[in-house]
Amino acid sequence: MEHRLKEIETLALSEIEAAFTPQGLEAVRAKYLSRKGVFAVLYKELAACGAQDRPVLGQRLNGLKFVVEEALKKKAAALSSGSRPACREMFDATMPGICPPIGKGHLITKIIGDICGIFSRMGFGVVEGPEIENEFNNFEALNIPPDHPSREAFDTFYLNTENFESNKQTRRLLRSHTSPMQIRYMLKHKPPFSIVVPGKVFRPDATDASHSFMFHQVEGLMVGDNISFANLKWVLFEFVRQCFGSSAKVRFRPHFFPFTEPSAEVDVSCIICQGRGCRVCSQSGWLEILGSGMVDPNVFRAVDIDPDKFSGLAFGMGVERIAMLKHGIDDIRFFYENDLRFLGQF
Amino acid sequence: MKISYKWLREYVNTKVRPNLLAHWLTMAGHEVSSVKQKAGDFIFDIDVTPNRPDCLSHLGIAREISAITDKPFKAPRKKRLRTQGQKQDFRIIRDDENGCPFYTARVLRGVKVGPSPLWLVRRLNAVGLQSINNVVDITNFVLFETGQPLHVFDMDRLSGDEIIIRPAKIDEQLVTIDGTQRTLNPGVIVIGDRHKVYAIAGIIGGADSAISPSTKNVLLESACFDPVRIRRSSLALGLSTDSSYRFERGADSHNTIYASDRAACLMKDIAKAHVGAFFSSGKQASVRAKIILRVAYLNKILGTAIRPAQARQILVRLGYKAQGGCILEVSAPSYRQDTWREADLIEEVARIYGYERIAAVAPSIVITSPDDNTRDLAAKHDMAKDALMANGFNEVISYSLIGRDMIKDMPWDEDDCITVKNPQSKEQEIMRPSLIPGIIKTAAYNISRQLYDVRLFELSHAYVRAQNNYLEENRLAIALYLKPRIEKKTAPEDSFFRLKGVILCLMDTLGVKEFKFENTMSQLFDEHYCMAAISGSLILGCFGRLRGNIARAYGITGAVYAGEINFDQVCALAQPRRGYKPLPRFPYACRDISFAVSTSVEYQQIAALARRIGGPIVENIELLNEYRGKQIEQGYRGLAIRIVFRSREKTLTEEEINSADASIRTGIKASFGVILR
Repeated sequence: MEHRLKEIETLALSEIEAAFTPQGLEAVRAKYLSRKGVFAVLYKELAACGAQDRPVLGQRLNGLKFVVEEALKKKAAALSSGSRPACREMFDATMPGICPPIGKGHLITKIIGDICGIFSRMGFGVVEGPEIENEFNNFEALNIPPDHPSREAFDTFYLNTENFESNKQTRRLLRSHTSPMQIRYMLKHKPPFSIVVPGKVFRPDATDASHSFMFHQVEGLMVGDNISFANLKWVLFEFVRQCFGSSAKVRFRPHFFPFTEPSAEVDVSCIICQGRGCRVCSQSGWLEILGSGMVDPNVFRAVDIDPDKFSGLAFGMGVERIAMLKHGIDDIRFFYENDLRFLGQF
Repeated sequence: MKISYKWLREYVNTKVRPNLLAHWLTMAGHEVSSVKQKAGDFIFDIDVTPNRPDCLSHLGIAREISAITDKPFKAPRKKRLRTQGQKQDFRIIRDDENGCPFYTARVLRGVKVGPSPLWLVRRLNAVGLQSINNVVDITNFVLFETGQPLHVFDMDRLSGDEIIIRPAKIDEQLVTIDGTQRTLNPGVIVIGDRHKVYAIAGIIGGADSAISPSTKNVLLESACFDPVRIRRSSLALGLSTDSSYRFERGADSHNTIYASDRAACLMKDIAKAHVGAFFSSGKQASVRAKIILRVAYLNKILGTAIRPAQARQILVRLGYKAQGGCILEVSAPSYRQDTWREADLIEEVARIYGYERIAAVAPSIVITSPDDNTRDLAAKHDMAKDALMANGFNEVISYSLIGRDMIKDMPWDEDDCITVKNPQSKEQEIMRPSLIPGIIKTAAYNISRQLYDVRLFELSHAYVRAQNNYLEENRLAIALYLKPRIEKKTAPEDSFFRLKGVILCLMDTLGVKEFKFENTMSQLFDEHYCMAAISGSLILGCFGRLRGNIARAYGITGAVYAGEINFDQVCALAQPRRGYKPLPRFPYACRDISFAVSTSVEYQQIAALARRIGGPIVENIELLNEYRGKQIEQGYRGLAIRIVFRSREKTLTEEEINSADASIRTGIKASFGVILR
C-alpha cells in the first residue's frame, strides 16, 4: 500500500505540473478527487483494511490528499494569474541560442599583438620593414661575414631580380630574420630610440612539424647613451612576466650571435611541466624563447653610430614558437593550413 | 660533442658534482644537453657554439672549467722530442696555399701496429669511438684531447718523397677509408702527389694509404685548412667527420705542432715508434695585437661593478695574458680566434662572472612613438581587420611563396612575378603576385573538410614587379563560400551581395568616400558576377564569383566568391573622420514602390533617378526584393523599393511626401518604361 501511495503522489504531482490550461487542470482534479476518482477508491480500500493498519494508513492517505489539493490550488492560481504560464506551452527556452558568425583574428596576429603590446607599454615603438632585403642589411651590417654559414643559399632564399631591376649590383633576398630592420632604422634615426619590429621571415627549410620556410619574428632594439646588459635583463624579465605570468622563471645563458656581444639566450621555466622536466623541454626544465644581447660595436659602425657614445640592447623571438608553447600546439603547419576549426579556437 | 668527466679531471682539479658542473658549463655558454652515466664515468653532451672551436676538445672544456671554478688548469707538458735516424729528403708542396695555410708532417718509423692499451680504449669508448688500432686510436685520442684533427698515412704506400696539397682535379676519384668511391671536384683540397690522391684534406683519408696491421712507417699529418673550403667540400661530399667538423670551425695553427708532438710521444710510448724528421710548410698565424679593456667601459656595458682584479683573473684563467688595472692590456691566446676586440673580452668576463649575477635594472626611459604615417597605417590595418571580423570573416595567413601551378589560368603571368633562385620545392618557386591564389587554396582546404560557412580574409603583402623595380604592396583578400544549408531561403547570388556589402562596410569604416562599383571583366570571375571598385581612374580592387575552371583546379565544386583590393591605395583615399553629422530632429516617412522593369535596366540607374527626382528630402532608398519568375513577363523582373523621406528642417506633410512619391513613380515610368504594380 505504502509503495502504491508513493507512486500515486509522484504521478499526481507531475500531472498537475504538466497542466497548462484550466481545462487540463480540471481533468487532473477530476481524475483524483471526483466521486469515482483515485482517492475515492483508496478510501474504499482503507475501509476494507485490517483495524491494526487503518489508523496509520488513514493518516498517510489524508496527508497525501492534502498535498494533492494544495498543488491543485497553487496551479489553479498560477494559471489564472496571467498569460505567461499559458505562453510557456508554446515557448521552449531550451532551444539553442543563435550565435552570430564571429570572425577571428589569426593566432599569430594575436600573439604578435600581445608581444608588441607588452613592449609598447614599456615605451617601444612598433615599426615594420620590407621582406625583400639586400645582403648588406640582412648580413654585412649585422656583422655576418661573407663566409658565414648562414649566408649559404641553403639558409636564405635569393631572388631573381637582376633581370628586371635597374640596380643590378644588389643581390636581393628574402630576409632570414627581422634584424635587418635594426639597420634600416638606425640608418635613418638618431639615438636614443627603442623599437620592436614584427614580421615575416623566410628560410629554405623542408616543412615538417617543427619547421616552416616562412614564419614570424619580433625583433627589439633599444639604443641610448647608457643602455646596459642589466637593462636588457630588466626589459626581458618584464616581457616574460607579462607574456608567461609572474610564476615563470627566467634565465640568461651566454650564447653566440654575430650581431650582439655579449649575447644571451633567454630560457623560461617550462610552462608544460613547471620546470620539472618533460618531453617538450627535453627534460631540462627550460625552454629557449629568445635570443638577445648588447648591440655589437661593428653593427653600430656599419650604421655610423659611435659605439663609444652609445650602447644598445637587442633581442629577437620566434612568434610561432611562443604560440606553440603557450597553447601546446605540436605542429607548426597548423598556422598555415588555416583550418577554421583550428583558428576558431583562439 | 661528447666530453668525459673523468678525462676532464686530468686537466683540471675539480670535485664539483657532474650535474652541477654541467649546469655551470651551460651558464657559461656551453650548453650541456645531457649528462649520462657510463661505465663509472659521466658523459656530457655539449652543444659548442660555432665561434668556439677551441672548446671542441677536453683541454678546451677543462680550460673553461678552470675559469668557472677558479682552479688551475694543467695541460700535458710538451716533451722534447729527439729525432732518431738519418735525415731524409722529403718535401711538402702547398700548391693550394689558400686552402692550406700551414702543414706539418712527421715521420715515425718502425711502428708496431697492434691493439691499444686499455686506458686508451676506455677514453675512446667514453666519447663514443671504437678502438681500431693503436696508431689510429692515438690520432683520435689527440683530436679529442687537443681539438686538432690529425691524419696518419702508411708511408710506404706513398709513391714518392713528396706530398702535394692541391685542389682536386675535375672528377678525380678516391676510395676513402670507409670503402666509398668518391668523385671530387676542384673545390676540394686533397693531399696527394702529381698523379694520385691519398686523402681528402681535413675530411677523410684514402683507403689505399690507410694504416694496416703490416704498416711499418707512418707519416703523421697535423695541419690547418681553410674553414670555408672544408665546409663546402663536406657539404658537397655529403660527409661530415670529427675532423671536418673541427676544421670548418677553424683550427689553431699553433695547436698543430703541439698536437703533433703529443701524438708522436704517444706513438713512441705505445706503438714503439722511432720519431723521425719533422717537416712544415707555410706560416702559423702571427701574434695578435694587444686588446685594451677599459674596466669602466665594461661596467657601463654590463651595468655591473666588477673590479679590475676580478676581470683580470677571469681572463688569465681562460688563457689570456692580462696586465694593468683599470685599463687592462690583454693578449689573446692563439686558440681564441673569436676574441679580437674589447667587446669580445667584455663577453668573456661577463659569462664567467655569471649572467645570473648581473642585476636587472630598468633602463632610463627611452620612449619611441612611431611617426604619424606608421601609426595611421597600423590603425587602418586594425580598423579593416575589425570590420571584417565583425562581419564573420576569419583572418588567415598563407605563404608568401607559392608554386607556379597556383596562378595557372589566372591573370598573372609567371614571367612578371619575382622568382626564387633556390626554392626547396615546387611550392616555393614564386613570390605571390596576389593574395587570391592563397586565399582560394585556403578556402578549398576548408571546403574539403566539410565546412559550410567559410569566410576568410588575409591582409598582407603581395610582391609586384614594377617597371624596373619591385613593390611589396599591402593587399586585402576576401573569400566567401556558404553552402545552401545556411542560405536556404535566399538565392545563391546572395553571397555576391554579401561580399559587396562587406567591401562597402570596409570602405565606410576606413572613411573612403570617393569610389564606386562598376561591372568589369576578369579572368578570375564569371561574366556579370564581377565588379571593380573604382576611384577616378584607379582600380582599387575587383571581386566576384570565381570561374568554374579555376575553382575546379583547386578542387572546389561549389560557388566561391572572392575579391582583392589594394589596401595601400584604399588607405591613401581614406579620409580621417572629423566632426559629426547632426542627428535628424524630425520623423521620417516611407513609400514603397513595386514595379516590373526590363532586365536590361540596372537597379543602380533606377535608384539614382529616384534620388534625383525626389531631391534632398530623399534620405535613403532601400531595395526590398527582387522577383524573377512566371508571374512576370519574359524579359522583365519585379523590384520593390522603399523610399525614405525626411527633411532636416521640418516634419514633412502628407502632401509633400505624396507629391514626391508621385513624381518618382512618373519619372521611373517615363525613363525606364516600368510597369507599376
